[in-house]
Amino acid sequence: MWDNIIAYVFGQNVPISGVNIFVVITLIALPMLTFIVYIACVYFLKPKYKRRIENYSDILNIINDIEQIKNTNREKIKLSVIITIIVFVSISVASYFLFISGANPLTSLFFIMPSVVVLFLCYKNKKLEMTGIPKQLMCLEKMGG
Amino acid sequence: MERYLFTIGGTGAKCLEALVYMGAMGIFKDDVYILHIDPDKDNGNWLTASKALESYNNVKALITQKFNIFSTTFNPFRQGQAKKVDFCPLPRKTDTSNYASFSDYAEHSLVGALLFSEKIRNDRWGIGFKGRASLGSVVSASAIKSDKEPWNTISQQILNTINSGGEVRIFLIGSIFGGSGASIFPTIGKLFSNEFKTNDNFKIGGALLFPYFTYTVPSDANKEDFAKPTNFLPKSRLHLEFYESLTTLNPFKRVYILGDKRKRSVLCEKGSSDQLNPPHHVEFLSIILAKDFFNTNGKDLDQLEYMGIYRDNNEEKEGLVKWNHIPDNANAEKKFLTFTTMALSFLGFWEPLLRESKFKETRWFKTYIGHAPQLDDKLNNLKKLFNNYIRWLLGVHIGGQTDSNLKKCQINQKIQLFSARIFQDILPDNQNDEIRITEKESKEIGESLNVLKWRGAKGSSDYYEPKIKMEKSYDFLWKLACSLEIDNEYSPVEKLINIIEKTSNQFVNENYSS
Repeated sequence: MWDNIIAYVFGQNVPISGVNIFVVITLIALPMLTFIVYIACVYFLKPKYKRRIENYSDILNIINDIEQIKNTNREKIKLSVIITIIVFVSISVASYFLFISGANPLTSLFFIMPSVVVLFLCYKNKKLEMTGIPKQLMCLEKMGG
Repeated sequence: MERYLFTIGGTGAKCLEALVYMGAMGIFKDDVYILHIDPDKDNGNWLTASKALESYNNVKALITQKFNIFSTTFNPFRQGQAKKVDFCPLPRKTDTSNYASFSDYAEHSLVGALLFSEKIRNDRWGIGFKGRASLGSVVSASAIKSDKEPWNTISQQILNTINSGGEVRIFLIGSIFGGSGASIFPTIGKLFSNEFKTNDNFKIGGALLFPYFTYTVPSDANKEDFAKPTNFLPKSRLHLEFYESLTTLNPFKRVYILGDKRKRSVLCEKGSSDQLNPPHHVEFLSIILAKDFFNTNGKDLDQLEYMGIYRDNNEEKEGLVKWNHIPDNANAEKKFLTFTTMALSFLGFWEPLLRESKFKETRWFKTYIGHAPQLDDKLNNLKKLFNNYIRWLLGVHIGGQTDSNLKKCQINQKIQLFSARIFQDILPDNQNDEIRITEKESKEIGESLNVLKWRGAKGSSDYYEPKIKMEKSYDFLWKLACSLEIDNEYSPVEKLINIIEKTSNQFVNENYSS
């Protein structure tokens, strides 16, 4: 089975060995794991925030809560980034082994891409910080300056 | 069309106060020249009205755009070098003035002696004519002349407007049962009709208020110092008969008559700053009548007509006051509800919030309000106006005035306009203090917003179920406030007023829809 998978994914030149089987598992499983962590952070682990505005100070409490939620979200994003970096490094190492074993470099690059995309999203998409905050409260986010 | 509204005496001052709030809420929308005529310059009713006017003008000064609310401009008349909204017909320092020292009639002292007792001739005028219209007529006939200020200026202004093809309408409001209103009302009418009666572009009308309050003169007081409430009705009849006798000489094109059979008891005060009658629904009705007069087609004002507002007999006997007793009630009810929702949501929610530095850093504040220098001062102006309005509205709803502090008076359950308890709850114990809202009161206001309109007991025909749940009032307002489209041309405070008005308006539409 392994020789078929390795031959199908990397071409006929790559020899079958224990290291290469591990590399293939890494290449397929880790990007998937990265996505699962990412999706879990963004969608499944979001806090169910609900505070009714009963008086004016509830708005001030919401502003505080938003800060806290943002901080929590930032922590999750950090964790997500760390996992992604580990994945990225693992894939890079695995790709290196594959490369020196004779695999096509473009194929290796293809497996690195999901990690790069996740990293990019984590850094650039600021909305991630506001995950879990109801839409009508988002405008209570504090803006500096 | 130029609109002139003259209010006379203590009752007139109360009507002027009602005019201010009805201008603020957009029931009375047009610009109007106003003049309050009162021999009792320090009358508490006038001082309250002038404070209301001042607080309105301070808010109005913040607005350059045309809004549905705060749209009326109250213009003063020029009096000499100054522009003023009040005029005292007494010739000199009122504290010492009396008939005996009134120079215009000094040479006719024997006539005076024939008409008035010595006590009346020597009585000080500082606090008005104490219900003596005959005495008031003597003074007003002398002070209200076309060659004297401000009447010559007003006449000239009318003339200029008419000559340039414009139209002028004058509306007078005064009581028919007292001294000042009953005497000055026909005098002003006569003055202008002498000059402009033949001109189709000039019409004069008015509202005469029949007795709607009463009081008990203390047994140990000098009875002559007070107008007697028992004389109010006979005097009203006499005065009305006099106006009626003028027949073709009667200068008015339309006279509205209104009062209340159920007279509310008020504290007995001689006058001056102590005379602080609580507001009454009859006063805001007089403003609705003024609006009706100004909006009436000129062709319908050719002949003198007496008009009034009536209720169902049973309801009148019971002393009930309901929204459907008010002319143009659907419009008036909505405007009242919207403005009151605005006032309460401002005092209970927006004002304390907008003062918080933490809130000023939010995306919402920066998007909707933006850079707002001296915002706190502007909030103070709005707060003062809403503060005065809530006191006024509570005053309309109280029963007998048992204390000068409205918080200590009972609410009259027969006035079925608003659920007035919340107004009383949020007022400070000391009536001179401004309303300061705690978190608890803010919550209480939030829970009252959806049932501001009076409602009867469950199962009765007056019962209604509000569409917005009580604990969700602020949530509703906030959600709306985050999705509004506000004109970027507006100044920060205009944006704020617009937000509060739009959210309150939508709240009322949604909550009270059937």
